[in-house]
Parts: sequence; structure tokens; C-alpha cells
Amino acid sequence: MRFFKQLPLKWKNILVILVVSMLTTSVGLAIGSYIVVTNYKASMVQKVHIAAKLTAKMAISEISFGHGGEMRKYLMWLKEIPDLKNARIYTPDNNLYSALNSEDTLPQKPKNSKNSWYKYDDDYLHLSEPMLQDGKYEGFLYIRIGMETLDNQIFRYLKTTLIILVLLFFLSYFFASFFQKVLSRPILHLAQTAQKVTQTGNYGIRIKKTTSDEIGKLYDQFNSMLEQIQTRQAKLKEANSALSESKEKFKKISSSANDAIIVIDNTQNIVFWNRAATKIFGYTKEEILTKPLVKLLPNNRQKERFGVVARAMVQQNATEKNPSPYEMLAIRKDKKTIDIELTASKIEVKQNNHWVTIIRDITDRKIAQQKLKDATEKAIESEKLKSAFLQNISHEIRTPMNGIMGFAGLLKDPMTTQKELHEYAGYIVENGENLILLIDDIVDISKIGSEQMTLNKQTINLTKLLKDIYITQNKQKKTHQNSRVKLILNETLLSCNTVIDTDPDRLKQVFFKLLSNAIKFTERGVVEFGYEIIDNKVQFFVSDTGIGIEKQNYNKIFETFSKINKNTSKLYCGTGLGLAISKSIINLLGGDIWVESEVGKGSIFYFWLPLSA
Amino acid sequence: MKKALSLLVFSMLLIFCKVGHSQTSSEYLMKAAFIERFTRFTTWPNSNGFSDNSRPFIISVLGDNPFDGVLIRVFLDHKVKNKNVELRYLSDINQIKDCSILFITSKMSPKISQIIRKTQNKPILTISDTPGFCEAGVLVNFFLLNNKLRFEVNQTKASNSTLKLSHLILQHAKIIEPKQK
Repeated sequence: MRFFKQLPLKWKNILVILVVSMLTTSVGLAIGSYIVVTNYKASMVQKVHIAAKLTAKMAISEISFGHGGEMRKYLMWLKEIPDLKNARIYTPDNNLYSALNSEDTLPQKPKNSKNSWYKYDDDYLHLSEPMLQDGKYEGFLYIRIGMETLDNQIFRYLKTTLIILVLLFFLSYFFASFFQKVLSRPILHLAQTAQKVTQTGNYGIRIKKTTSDEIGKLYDQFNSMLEQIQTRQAKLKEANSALSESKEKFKKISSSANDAIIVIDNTQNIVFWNRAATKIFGYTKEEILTKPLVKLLPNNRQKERFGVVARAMVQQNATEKNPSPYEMLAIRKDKKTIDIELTASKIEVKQNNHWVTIIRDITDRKIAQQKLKDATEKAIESEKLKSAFLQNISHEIRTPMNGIMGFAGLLKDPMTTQKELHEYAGYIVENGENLILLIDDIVDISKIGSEQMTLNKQTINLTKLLKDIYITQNKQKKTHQNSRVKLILNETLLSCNTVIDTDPDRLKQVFFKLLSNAIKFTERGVVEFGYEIIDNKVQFFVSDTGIGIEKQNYNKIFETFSKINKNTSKLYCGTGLGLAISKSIINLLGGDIWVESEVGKGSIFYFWLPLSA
Repeated sequence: MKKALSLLVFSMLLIFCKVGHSQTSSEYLMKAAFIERFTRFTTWPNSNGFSDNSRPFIISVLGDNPFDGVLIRVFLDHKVKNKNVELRYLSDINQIKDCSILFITSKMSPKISQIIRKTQNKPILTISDTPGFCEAGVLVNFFLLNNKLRFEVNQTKASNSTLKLSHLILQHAKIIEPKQK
């Protein structure tokens, strides 16, 4: 059966036709042979039976009237039967009465019967006819016939049959191979056409219908199938080109966008990543795709916030409002945190929800904004300071001016003695000096404010500088007759000759201001100053035993025009510019200044400068 | 029973055929046996109550009885056509009535034409053993040839008769065809 399945259609058809025709022919011939043989046998029996009957009658009459002498004459009639072996007459008691051939042999005695009978065995036909006349049984006739003729006839018949069968086989083969074409040709044609279509990919080929049977229908179906494929292919081509066009467009749009376009799926994994996203976050498309979006968020707070933002955005989208972008923090591949502005919307792709997020890097904008804000605040502050400054200045100028004006008026008084004149002139000079100092300060401040302060850097010996300052300050202290305060230069630290590259005048100015402040705010006690070398820096200090400064004011005192205590300001008059100028100078020199203090016990002002520039 | 009887008759036939010299009695034994055979090969019409088996089958012998008891021996306890056999010995022509077989002895030759006329158109098998009787109109006439019992049959008579003689009888008979009729 497997062999048959592998045969080509042509041979299948031929085989089927051959098998069927041979089968029917064989069965027909077999039935025919059987009928012929049976008929032959039956007709033989019939013929022999008639002869036997006649002979039996004759035998009876011979026995009745002919004295038995001519019995053989009647038996001789039977000689005409071909292949006759025995013809015998038996008496009723089964004794042989007469035989055709006296020498003939019989292997066994025949059955005695008053009925006629016959029997075929393998080689012989046995036939017996009783001799009955008017109900009287006179014996029986027994005939035995060989089967040679029948066998010959059968053999001849079979030979003919076989020849017919062989002839029919060839005839069948001839017709089968001729007629199979009717069946196989259209199918082969179909197969060839199908192969052609497959090989060339040309779906425009059509098969020509020649019959209207099932094969014709098959052809029709095949053609309509091809047509469908052709149409579908054309549509597909069209759709493909449209798709690639739109793909191209989309690609160009997405890559030309300056904002990052990132699409995430339901599980918050990134499924789309454009060029701008790479620029903003530093990840390439290959690195980030299928990774979760939270990778771009620096902390849990931002992750939570993203969820909230996304939901809010979607809600806004649903209400058809233009969603306003949210500002968030994100983290780049290089771990740098950046400010982003995020817009999200929900889209549905293949029944899956996707989120489209558009992200803009606003780090620069943020910085600019901050700067602008700072600048604005500063402007407002400086405006305030300016008015405060003017107010202060006018007050500070008025006070010595009042003194000058008052004492100058007294000078004009003719009643004024020489001694008094001298004293008044002294006051006028003092107030004038204060005024000059004030104006110097104002000049400095305005220089600092407009960044016009120039430095004149020299290499100087610190010990010498500090000694000069001590001498000058001590002299000045004496002129101001503030004898309850003792000024000490901490000389233990001055052992080595430290050389520093700085502006000596400005440094002196800082010391003068710090020392005069210290002396001013100290009722009694010690004002000490000096320096030490710490880590390539020169750290200076000015300590006093004065009223001290509250901790919350540590920074405030370095601001322009700040005076801590309004009550004490009357007692300790001053412009409030000194510390601000000092801080600015020190900052310009590349150092810093700060204060450590305890209220009521005193303060220590520290400032440092770099040892080498 | 039948078988045994047939065998007996057959054996007798053989014996008497061979024992030919006891001329008269053996000859008539043969004739009696032959008469019995003729009953077998002859069909009587069923008219005149022949089919009634209670009626006997009548065999009449006209003239002096030549059989000398042989007939009785042959037909004793013997049935013909399922009928009992009744033997009648007649001397007068007028006694011929409804017999089935009539044996005409040679003594009756002067009255033969009269007898023939009497039996004409009747279902009677007429048998004789006198030369010339067959030509006169008797159906079956015995004669001896080469010391063997033979018989002749008047074919014309036989074919005109209501009786039917089997062709097997004719097979062994000498056929007489009188031209006068």
C-alpha cells in the first residue's frame, strides 16, 4: 500500500483499471469455467442417463422375451459413450449377469438400488439405472465412465481462458494507459500549473477549464484562489508601502523631535525610545528597550510621583483638556540628576494600553530660572539696602556734621576763650576725621558693590605688618583715651618670619576695622590679636572681652549696614559698614571670615588667607 | 415377495429353456411364463371397471386346456396390475365375456373368424399358438424357431386395439401386417 501511495497518478490509474478489469475478468472466467464444467457434467449425466435408461429397458425385454442371449448387443450401444470403462447388468441379488467387456475390471461392487443414481468421484462418473417393468425389479445397469475427455475439455477451456486473460490484460493495459490520461492529464496539468505559480510567484497565471466535472470545479476553485491571492498580494503590497511610508514618516518625526518620546507598555517597560531620549538620558535604544521606566527615576519619591502624574495626565486627556506638563527629576545613565518636564497620555495598541511620555530636559532652563530669581531677589534686596544705606548714611553724616556745625558756631562766639577755642577746634577736627572715615568706607563699599576694588599685591612680612598695626592702634587708642581696654599682640605666634603674598593696605584696613570694632564694643578687658599657620593657610584672629554676639546674628553682622542692637547703636556709633567691607576684602584676597562668640563674655573673629597665592 | 416370485419365474424360465426335451409341459410352461410377461408389457384401458382392483384379472382359455395346470402354477398367488388372477377355461365362444386375456387353442381354428369378431373392439389380449391365427386377427401368436419359443404380433390389430403393447414386446416379436385390411 505504501508503494502504491508513492506511485505517480498515471500508474495509480493504470493499476486500478488493470486490477479491476483483471479481477472482474477472472471472476467472470472462473464463474464461466465452473458453469461450463458443471454443465458439461450435467449434460454428460443426462446423455448417459438416457442411454442407460434405454439400455435398461432393452435389457428387461431381453430378459423377458429374448432368452438373454443378446444382452451384450444392447450393452454394445453404450460403447459409443466416450471413455466408457464399464457397462454391466446385475441381477436383483447383485450378481453380475452380463458385462460389455468380459475382461473389464471394477474395483468394487456397485451399490444395488431400485432407484437410478449417479455419482462423480475424482476420476469417474458412476451411473446406475434399475431395470423395472410394471413394478417388477429385474436387476440394474451399472455404467462407469472415465473423466479423460472432461479433463481434456476443462484443460482446453482453462488454456483458452488463460490466453484470453493474458490478451485481456494487454488489452486492459492498452486501454488503461489510454484512458488514464483522461483522468490524470487534467490533474497533472493542475499540478504543473501550481508548480509554475510557486516557482515564478506569478499569481496572474490562470488554468484553462476544459471539463465541467469535479476537476473542472477544481480548476475554477484553483483560479479563484489564485485571483484571491493576487488581489490580496496587491493589497498587501499597497498596504506595505503605505506602512513603510508611514513608518518612515513616524521615524523621521520621532527622531527629529527635540523632546524624548518614550512609550511604555502595561508593565511599565519601555517599548519605544527615540533619538532625543538617547540625547537626554544617555542610554541607547538597545540598552533601554524592555527595561522598566523607573530606571530613569532617581528615587522612590519620583517613582511614586510618576504614577500620580501619569494618572492625572490621563484624566486630563480624558476630559480633553490640554495636559499641562509636570516637572520632575530624572536620572541619566551617568547618574547625573536632571530636571525634566513630562507629558503623558494613554494610547491603545492592539488592545493593550500603552503610555506615551514626552520628556523635555529643562535643567538649563531651571538654572536660568534660578539665576533670574536670585538676581531679582538680589535687586530687591539691594534696593532695600540702598534706601537703608542712604538713611543710615544721612544719619551718620549728620551726626559729625552737627558736631562740626555746633562747634564751628561756638567758634564765632566772641565770648569764647582761647582754651575753649582750642577744645572746640579739636572736636571739629575729630568729627571731620570721623566724617572722612565714613566717606572712605562709603567709597570702599561702592567700589566693592560695583566691583571696582583693585588689589595691590606685594610680598610682605606678616610679623612686621602686625607690629605696625599694633603700634598704630595703640597710639590711636591712646588718642581716644580708652584706657580701660588693653590691646595685646599675641607674640608667641610671631616667632617665625612668615611671608605672604597679599595687599598689605587692605589687610591693614581689615585689622583696623576689626580692632576698632573690638575696642569699641569692649567696656573693659583685653583685645588680643595674632595669627597661626594651619594647613597652608594663615589664620588670623581678633578676640575681645566685649558684649558678644548672639548666635543667630553670626552671619548677619557681615551684611552691609547691619547693626545688631538698636539700643546699643546709640552707645556704639558707627556706619555698620566695617565688617561688610572686611568680608568683601578678605573674599577678594581669597580667604574667608567668621565669628565665634558668647554673649556678655566676648567674641573672636577669625579670618584666613592662603599662604601662597 | 414380488422379488422372490420374479426370481422364481426367471429361474424356471432358464431351467425350462435349457430342458427343452420334455416337450409339451415345458413348452406350455414357457408359454404361461410368456403370458405373464405380456401382462407386464401391456396396458389395459381403464374402461369397464378395469381400474377397480377388487375385480379379478380374468385369463380365459378357449378350447381344450393345453397348459395342464401350468397356468395355475404361474398365476397362483400372483397379482396382475394389482388384481387377483382368475383363470377360466371355456369351451364355447359365447362364454367369452369380460376377460382380459384370451388364449385360443388350435382346436378353435374353424371358429377363428367368429372369435375375432367377438373380441373385436374389446380390451382383450388375444393369444394363440397356431400358425395362421395371427394373420387371422389374433394379436399374439407363439411359434417355435430353432427350438426356441418365439411370437409374432399382428401390428395392424395391435395399433387399432384399445390395448397398448409396449414396443419392447414388438422388439422381440415377428411383425405380421395383414394386407387385407
